[in-house]
This record gives sequence, C-alpha cells and structure tokens, in this order.
Amino acid sequence: MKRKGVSPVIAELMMTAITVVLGVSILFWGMNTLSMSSQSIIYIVSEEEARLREALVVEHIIFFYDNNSLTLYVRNIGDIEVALSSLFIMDYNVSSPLEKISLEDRGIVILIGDMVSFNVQVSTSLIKGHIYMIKLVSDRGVSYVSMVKAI
Amino acid sequence: MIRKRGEATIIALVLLALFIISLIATLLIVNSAINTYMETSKKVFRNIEEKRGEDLTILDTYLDDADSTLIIKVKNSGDIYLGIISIWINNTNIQLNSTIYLSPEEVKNIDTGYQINQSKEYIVEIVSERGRIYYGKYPMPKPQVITGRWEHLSYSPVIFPPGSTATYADETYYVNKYHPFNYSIINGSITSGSLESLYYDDDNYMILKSAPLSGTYKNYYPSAYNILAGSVIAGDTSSLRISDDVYLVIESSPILTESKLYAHSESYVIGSSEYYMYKTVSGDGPPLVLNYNTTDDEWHQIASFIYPLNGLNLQSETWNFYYRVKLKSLYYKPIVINEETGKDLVNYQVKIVLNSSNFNFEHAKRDGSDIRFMDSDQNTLLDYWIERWDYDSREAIIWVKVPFIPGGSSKVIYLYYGDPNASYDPNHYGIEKVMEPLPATDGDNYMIYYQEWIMPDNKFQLIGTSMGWHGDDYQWRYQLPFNFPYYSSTYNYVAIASNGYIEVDGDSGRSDWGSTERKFRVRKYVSPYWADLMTDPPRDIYIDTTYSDEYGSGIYIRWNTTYYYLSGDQNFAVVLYRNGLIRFDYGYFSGQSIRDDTPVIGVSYGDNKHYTLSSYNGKTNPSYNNSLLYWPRKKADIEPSVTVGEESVSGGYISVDISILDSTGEVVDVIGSKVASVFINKSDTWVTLSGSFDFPGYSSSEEEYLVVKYYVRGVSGASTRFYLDIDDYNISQSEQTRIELPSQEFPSGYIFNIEFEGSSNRAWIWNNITITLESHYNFNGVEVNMSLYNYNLNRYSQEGEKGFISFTYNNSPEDIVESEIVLSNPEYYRDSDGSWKIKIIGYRDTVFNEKFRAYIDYLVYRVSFINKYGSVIDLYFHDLSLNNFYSLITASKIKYNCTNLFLNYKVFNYPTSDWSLISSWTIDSMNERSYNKTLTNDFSNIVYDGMLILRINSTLVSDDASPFKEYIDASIIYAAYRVSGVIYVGRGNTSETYAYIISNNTWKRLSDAPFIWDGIARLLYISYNRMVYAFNESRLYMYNTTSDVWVSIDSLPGSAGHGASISYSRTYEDIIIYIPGGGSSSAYIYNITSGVWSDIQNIPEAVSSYGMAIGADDGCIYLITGRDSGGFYRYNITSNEWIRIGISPTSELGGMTYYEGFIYISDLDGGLYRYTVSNDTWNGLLPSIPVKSEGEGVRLLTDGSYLYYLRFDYTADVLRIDIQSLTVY
Repeated sequence: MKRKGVSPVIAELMMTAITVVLGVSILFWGMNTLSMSSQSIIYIVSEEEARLREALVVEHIIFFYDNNSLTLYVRNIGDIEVALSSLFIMDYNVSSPLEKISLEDRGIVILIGDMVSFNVQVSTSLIKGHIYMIKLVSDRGVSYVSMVKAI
Repeated sequence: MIRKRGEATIIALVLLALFIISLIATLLIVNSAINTYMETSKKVFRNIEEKRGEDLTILDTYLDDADSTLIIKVKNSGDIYLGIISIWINNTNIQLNSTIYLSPEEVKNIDTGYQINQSKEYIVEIVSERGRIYYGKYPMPKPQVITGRWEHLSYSPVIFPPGSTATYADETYYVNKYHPFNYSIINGSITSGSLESLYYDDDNYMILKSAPLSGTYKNYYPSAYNILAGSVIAGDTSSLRISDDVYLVIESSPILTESKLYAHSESYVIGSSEYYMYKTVSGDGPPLVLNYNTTDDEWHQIASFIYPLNGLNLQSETWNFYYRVKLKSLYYKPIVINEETGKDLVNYQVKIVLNSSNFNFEHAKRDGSDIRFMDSDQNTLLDYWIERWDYDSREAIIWVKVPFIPGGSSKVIYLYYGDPNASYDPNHYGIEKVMEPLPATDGDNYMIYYQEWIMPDNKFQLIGTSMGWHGDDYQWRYQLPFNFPYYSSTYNYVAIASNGYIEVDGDSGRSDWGSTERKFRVRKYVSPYWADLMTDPPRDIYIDTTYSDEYGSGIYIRWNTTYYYLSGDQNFAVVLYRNGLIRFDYGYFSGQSIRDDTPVIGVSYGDNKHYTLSSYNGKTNPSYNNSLLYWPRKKADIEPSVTVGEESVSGGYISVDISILDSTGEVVDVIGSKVASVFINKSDTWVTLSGSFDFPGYSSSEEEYLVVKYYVRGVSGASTRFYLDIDDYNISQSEQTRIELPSQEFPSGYIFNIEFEGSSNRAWIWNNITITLESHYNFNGVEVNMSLYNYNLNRYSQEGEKGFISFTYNNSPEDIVESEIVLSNPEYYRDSDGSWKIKIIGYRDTVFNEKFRAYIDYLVYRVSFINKYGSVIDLYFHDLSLNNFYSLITASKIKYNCTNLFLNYKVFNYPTSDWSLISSWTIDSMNERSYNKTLTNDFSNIVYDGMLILRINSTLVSDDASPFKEYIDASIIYAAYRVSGVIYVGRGNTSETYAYIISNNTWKRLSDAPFIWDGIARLLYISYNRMVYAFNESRLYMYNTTSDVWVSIDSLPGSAGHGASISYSRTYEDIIIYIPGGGSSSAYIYNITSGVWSDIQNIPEAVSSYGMAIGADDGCIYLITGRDSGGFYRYNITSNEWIRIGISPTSELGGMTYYEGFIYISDLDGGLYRYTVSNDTWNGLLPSIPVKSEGEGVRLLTDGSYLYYLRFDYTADVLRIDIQSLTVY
C-alpha cells in the first residue's frame, strides 16, 4: 500500500513556520515571564528599602487629663516622608487593653526632618503618674513605641 | 531542503539570542534594585550601630544668674559624634537654630533661653538626631546613697530578755570595791582572824594586840647655859624651843696670836671708800703693784690699807713699817762749762758732745727726747737743740743756750734724762730756741756766726715759679716779701745770679762767673753753688714766696742751670727764712764747665770777717747731697770748754698716815701723819725699806678700823714714779710690805664656847637620844663642834665618839640643821637625876679680824623610849586604776577593848616615800564604829602600779598605859571612777542592773535593783545629780552611781502600767515627769530637790502599751501615746499644757532617744525615724534596724554620735550606727 504524502517543500515551509512561531512564542513568553518576575522583585525590594529609610521619633507627649487626650510631637528623622496610620496606647500600671486610634483619615504625613504635632482622643482614662506605652504605626507598617510617664 | 533547515535554525538561534539578551537586561535591573536595598540596609544598620554607641549625660541644670534662663550642661559620653536637634522643657519645645554637635567627651552648656521659676521643678528632654531622648530635671536630683550600716558593738555578759530597759548617761560614775589582798603588821601582833576577816561586815574580826612603839619620843630643851668663851648678846634658852626667827645670839671672842699685818690686794669698803686689806697672814697671791707718778715734790697718796680693830686695845709701842718699793726716777749729770775768754757770756750757745765715755745712752730714750737741761739751780729748764743723736753709735751733739757764763769761770748746768714717757719739750726744745735772733751784733769776746748743720736728709724740691731769667753771667735784683735778717742788718732786696749765688742787697747786672773764696769773703753772698753757670733756655730760676716748714716760713729760690758752655744740668736751691735761717738744697748735677766748675759754697757778710764756708765748698756736682742749714749763733773768741759729770738719780720719799675710822668711814682719830718716812734713791730696783713710828696706843670700839695710808713724794720738775708691791707670795715674808708690832697681837681666830643644861624623865626605857642643832652664823667657814656630856666617862664626847657632831658652816645666812643619834647606851648621856649637858664650840680662823656671831635657833635633846603602846597594820589594795579616778573611800569598822586612843589613817605617798596622814580620830568608846574617809584629791601620789597601801595606826594617848586590843571587822576601799558614755540596763524579769561603759566596751554588774525589771519598770539617768532614777509599778527609786547603792525614794502617785515612762526637762533639771501609762491619761512631776510630787494637766488621750516620752532641750516633754492611738504630744512645763503635734510614724515604739534637737524612735519592725524639733518634721532614716523588737522597753539610745540598739530579745547583742551615716528620706 502506498501512502499518499505532502510535498517536501511544503513540509519544509511548514517546518520553518512552526519553528518560527514556536520560537517567537517561547521567546515572548519567556520575556514576559521574566519581566513580571523582575518587576515584582524590584517592588518588594523597593518597599522594604523604603521601610528601612523610615525613622520617626516621638519627641514629646502632652497629657490632657481633662478631656482624656494627648498631643504627640513626632519628628521625621529618616530619609523618607512618613504617613501615620494608627496609634496604640496602653496604661502599664493597670495592664489595660491596647487601645487603637486610627490616624489614616487624618492624613498626617511627616516630611523629612519635619516635626508634626497632633492631638488624639483616647478612651483610656489618663492618670497622672501612670506609665503609658504609646505606639505609632506608619502606613508602611513601621511602628514606633514610646514608654512615657504621664505628668 | 537542507538550506531550509539551516534558515530555521538561524531563526531559532536569533530568537534565543534575543531571549538571553532580554534575560540579562532584566537581571541587571533586579540587581540594581537589590543593590539599592542593600545600601539602605547597610545605612540603617550603621545607624542602629551608631545609635548604640551614642550617649549623652545631662551633667547639670541650672539658672543663668543674669536672666534666670535654664542652662543645661551636657556631656557626650558616647563613642561618636552626637547631634542635638530638639530640647523640651516640660511641655515647651525649645527652638534650636541648628543642630548642636558634641564630639565624644565634649561638654557643653546649652543656654535654652527659657526662663523658669527657680522654686519649681522641670523635666528636660533632649532629642538627638539619631532619635534618642535623654531626660533630666531641674533642679538636678541629688543621688541618694545609703552608706550607713548597723554594726555589732558588744556582747553583754548575760542575755537580756524582753522586759529589759535602758538609759544613757553622758557622764557618770561606777564604783569598784576593793578588799585588801595582803597585809603586814608593823607594830603589834595578830591574835586571831585573817585577811578574809576584813572583807565583810560580820562577826569575824582580825584582832590585833598592841605592842610598845619604838618610835615614841619626847623632846627636851635646854633650861640653862654657861658661856665659856664669847658672850650672849640676844635671846635665851626659850629661843631654842622651836624653829623660828627667834635666836640665841652668841658673839665670839678673839684668839690673839699674830703681831704682823701684811698688805693684801683684796679690797674692803667702808662708807663710800674702798681700801686694801691688812691681814695677819703674809702675801698669798700674785703681786699687785701699785704705782704713782709725781712731777712735783708734794706728798701724794699711793695706797691705803685697812684693818678692823673690833674693840682691840692697841698698846703704846714702836711700829715698824716695811715697804717693798721700786722707783723710776730721772738720771742727771752735771755739765761744767769753763769760760775761756775771761769775759761773761750771756745766752750763749754751748755745744755739748756726748759719747759712750761720758754718757750712759741706755738710761735715756732711744731718740733722746727725754733729755732736759736745768740751770745751776736744778730747777730752771734751759733751751736746747739736739743737732745729732745717734743712739747706736753712742754719739750726740747738743746745743744748750746757757743764760749766763761768768767770764773766766765755770758754770754748772744739769742734764736730766731717763723718763720713758717723756717727749721733746716744745717750750724749750728746737733750733729756733737755741739760735741767736738776728740781726745781732758782735760782742766783745764773740761774733755772730752762721753755724752749718748738715741735715740728716735731702730737702730739694721742684717748686717755684719760673722767673724767665735766662742768660749767662747775669744777676737779677729781686725784692723779698719780707725783711731778711742777715748778721747785723735786715735786707729787702737781693740779686739772684745765673752763676749760682745770691748777692744780699745786690743790683741787676753782670755776674762774676769766676768764683774764688777770696772774692766770696768780701762779697755779701749767699752762695749755694757759685760757679760758671748759665740759665739759657730752657734753664731758668724759680721762686716760691709761700714756702714754710718746721723751721719757719720764707722764700724758696731754685736754680736750673747748665755749665758754661751748655754742659749738663745743675739743680740747687736756697731757702731764706724770715727768722734768718738759711738752707741749701741740692738736686741733680751733671756736666762740667770749660771755665769754672769748682763752686764756692757758704754764706758771707762780705766784710772778710763774718762768713762761713760750707763743708761742701769746692765739691763739684753734689748731686742730692744732704741739705745744709745755717743757723746764727754767738761764737766766742775762744769757745768755752765743756765737761760732762757723773750720773746721779733724783729719788723720792715714802711715808704713812695712821688714823682710826668708824663704821661710816669717818676719821675718829688721827694717830700720825707722814711718819715712818724713807728716802729711795735707787732706780728701777725692788727694795724693801723700813721706817718706824712710835705708836701712842689706842683703845678701839666695836666697828672701828685702823687705816694706814701710804704717801710718796718726788722731785719738783722731774717725773718720778713710785711702785708699791703688795700681796706677793713669791717673796719672803721679810721682804713684804707690812707693819710689825713687837709685842702687840692680833686675832688669828674667834671662838665661842657655850654649855647647855637640861633635864629629862628617866623613868622610861630609853631607846636612843637624838641631839639636833639648827643654827646659822654671820660668816661662812665657822667650824662647829657639839658634844653630849658622857656621865659614864665624866667628860664631853669627843671626835669619833657618839654624841659628837662636827660640821663646817657654809650656808650663810641660812639656818642649817645638824643632828646626831646615840643608839647605844643612851643612859650614859644623862645624869642620875635625868639632867644632861651639851656643849657647843664654834671657831673660825681670821686673817682680817672678822669677829663672828652664832645664831642658834633650835636645840633639842630628843629621847626615844618604848613605854607607849600602839598597833600598826598596813593593808595592801591592788588593781586600782588611775584612769578616771574620781573619789576613794577608805572604810573600816573597828572596835577596841579600851578608850583614849588615837586612830590614824595614813596612805603611803610614793613620790615622798613617806606616809601621809589622811584622817585621825580619838577613840572614846569601845563600841564598833565605822571610820570612813573620802579622798578626792590627786591619787597619783598614793596609787602606784594599781597599788594603794593603807596604814591603820592606833596609839594610846597616854605614855604609860597598858597594851590594848584592836578588833577590825572590815576594811574596804570604794573607788569611784568617772566615765563618759554609760548605758545603764535593767535586765528583764530580774533585779539585775548593769552598766555598759561604751569607751572601753566594759560591762559591770551593779547592785541589784530593789525590784524586778518587769517590762513596765523604767530607769532614767539624770545628769543634774548624776543619779539614776527608776520606778516599778508602785515606787520611785534612786541609784547612787558613786556609791553603787539603790535607795527607795517614794511611792508613785499613780500605779505604773504599760507605756509608763519617766523623763526630765532639760530646762528644769531637777524635775522628773512621770507618766503612769496603762490606759491612764494622767501625768505627774517629781521635784528631785524637794522630793515633792505634783499633778500636772492630763494628757488629752490615754497612754497605752509601747508609749514613751522624752525631754528635749526646749524644756518640753515629747510623748508618743502608744499602740492605741500613736498620738504625738508636746508638754510645756511652763504653761502646764499638752499640745497635740500630730501622729507618730509608729505607735509601737521600740525605743525613744533624744540628742540636741532630734528625737529618734524605732518601731517594732526596726523602722527608724527622726523628729526634728526645730521644724516639726518627721523623717525616715535608713538603714533600718536589722532586727525586730520584742516587748516593751527602751532599747534605742544615743550619745549624739551613734545610735545604740540593745536587742533585749534573749540575746546579748548591742548594735550601733553612726548617726552621720544615716540616710534621711
């Protein structure tokens, strides 16, 4: 039995075409994949690097016992501007639960070298002489903890 | 086909290459991101690392004085640079202009510019650029460091249980009781008992039986005396009984043995005059040579001597005086002048030539300045001049101007010499005194003549003003500044020639260069060097019109010439004196004249008669020859002949005045004047001469003196020195200056001899006899013998035997005591009736007739006998300490079996090695009694090395009584010692009481209290009387710290309960405040002085357990009411008012103590608190007491330096802490 076949030219052409298509596809896939991966890596690295560059110091806290609030003076001593995200407070003397105050809506952004002050109302009863833990969290997730005695 | 395949491969390879390229690019981008991250990470980690190394210290915060702003002093105490970016003061942020940087170790003062209130506190925050915050404060808190520590001080000898209580005494006593540890019986014997018998007051006695006392004595005094030599001039036997200022005065009698009085060098003053002494012994020392120089023939005193007569009677007889004398007088020789012309010569210059054949040059001075000439009367001094005096070659030429020489006869004048102190007589010596004053004319037998004297030296001088007289063979007329006397005339003009002469009264004009003696004799020339000279320049003639010397003033004319023609130099000069003297001087000469260089030299009046040719005449070139002086004199036609006679001495006299002086030096009788005179004519040789005087006799009174004054007389106008030699032991007695009295005798000694008599009681058995003499004498050197009469030998005791005293007195004017004891056979020295005799002989040698007196003060004949009884026992106590010794009580209980005794206490005195009587009693009862004596003096004399010896000496008052017995029950010494810092402790549940002496860490058990220390009882030391007061539940007691005795004083006005206390006001020192406690609010005061209790205002609240009170310096009592309330009160004694101060830091007190404004309390847990009275403040003190307290009781005490804590918890422990180390909180 004799089988019927395709011409060699066609076959050659077909082979070439397949090779080109396949090669181009593989090339574009590979390049795309490579690009995606590298961008992801660069982002992660950049974010982490930004977090490293962040540095705040809570220079001073004023306790207002009348309205149960406190004013914080925070200075950016890092190399990157910092937006504050939240504040936590806890009375060490009575082991009170950690109270969280969100600062996201306040839009507190501290430029490099600047010091900002902002007042926060707390539900924890502020008692003179007690020791409090104050934790500030930036929007990059970096937290800054201060232990302070209410005076 | 194959080609198609190749194309596909190529395409594939191209695509592969593109992929690889893309991959590499992506990797590079990723790598870059990672690198950035890594860099950041490194930076963060570096920041973290740096943050760890960063540190800042706030050293100080203080105010700026100028503007009250706060300054912060900081230091970079880290390892790296630090930047401060922000500062907060409380809630205020201090704006900094820029970051403040500090290098490591750097210190900066940061002026914040922030004004603060100095009285407030501030918190300072400093923020570093790395985010660290550093905190500080204003003011800077001081560091609180607890440095104190309770330390163990002592262990008591017993444990103290709860219930014990204590009090502190700043200064008090403790008493030691000493028993004798040994004894010795000095007199008597023990019949029963022993040393232990003396320890306690009981029925056990030491019994002493008395024995005769060997030391008993009796003094007997003289009742009469017999003078055997001398005389009593004051006092009697009653003067001899006691040593005082009353004396028996005996005057001694002389012993006459010597008949010569020698002159001595010692002096003696009578009245206001001082005299040499006459003594009865010959010279005994180096010679003293007295001298006197006379220049006239008057009597002069050379010395005076004295001898005390003291009542001697001088009989009439011839006294022989011997003088050892030497004379230094002038020698003299007669000079016989024979006039040869047959006519008188008046004021004639006689030439006297001395040489070794006619004159002893050794008797004159070496320069002849002692030469004097006297006229025939040997009194009128003549003018003279020595032309030459050559001592060595024994030649002299002397010109004497003799006033008158009789013509054809002889004239005697005298040459005196030999005074070593003489010098040229300015009134009679000199050439100007001898020369003939000009102008003068010739006499009948003499003419005026210029005598040449070759002077002993060259006097040429380059002086004068150049006259400009140059030339050859010329003379210049010159007007003299004075009239020059020359022979018989005076001249105002001279002509001075270039040829070396002066023509007196000459004119200017030609000068004759040809000099001849013939021309010279007929020309009026003064010719120093007339020759053929010329004064061509630069030669000249010089004149000085102001010239003067020892011979007078005048004009100096000097030539400087040259020989004709112009050969050499000639220098010479002439002095024309105003008095007529002429002198030629010669300087340098040289050269020779071609015509005339042989000079004519001399002076000439030009009349061919009056001229003098020089001895230099015709002598060419007399360079620097001695000068020549021409002086005018008379020259007889025939010169008188002169004969020098033999040498003689001028001599002198010595004699004496004799008189009597009284004690004031006044002359009371003149015996003789200038008697015993002797002439001395031997020069410079010691001789002993004698003279005699018929003494008329004299009866002297006391205090009269013989005075002999020696006089000398010389020769008028001549120096005569007399020498009188006295006191020379080197020469024989026969040559010494003295007086000899053939039969009269003077005292060689004085003596007194007195015999004393007395009586004695011979009923007793004599042990010995002691004779004692206390006396003095008004001269030293009195030899005294005192002897007892020996009735066994029927004579007085002699030297070498008992009962004989011999001594030489040398203590004038002090009394001395001499004593002699006769131990063996004392009965030999009393008569059968008890009478006795003592003879005293005093003798003293004298060479100056010194009568002495004896002053006898005390003379006793002491008899020691044994007919008297006594007992003597010495008790030895030891271990006594002198440290803080305050008082000592010697306490004995004694009884006797009889009365009428003396009891003496004596203690041995170590420095004097003798016994000191400390107390004495008379025994008038046979009952046992205490004999106590308290001593508070310096104990160092009676306590040595801890030992004290007490002598108990009992003696019967009567001498004749019988033996007795002495019963000694106890003999104890109580010694009180003063100590500072003592804690008295009552031991709980017992009566035991202790004293703890802090200074030497000594515990001493005291007498037991008369009650039990039950936790309620308290004690308190009162410094006012140095007593301890204590109470139990019902009574008040007192403990005497000096006697260790408890005394019950009184019952308490209210029973004491828990929390009871006593305290005292430091203002009202004798008041005690008693608070009964036990739930009571009452309180009382007790007056120590009056012993009276008084109520005071009730306390506003009740006092319960653990309550305590204490007095303070403000006079108030401070009370803590105790467990129930803990109220803190102050009681004012003056206002009798309790004031509540507040609440005590504790209501349960473990102790309460006070010192100078501070009250210290402790609680049961050891807490320690301090109350400051001045500001009403309580403070806690750290460290706390390390143990808890159990039960009530005062256990906290202080002396101001330390707090003491007695545990009272069944331990013996005492703790203490330095108050300065306590920390206040």
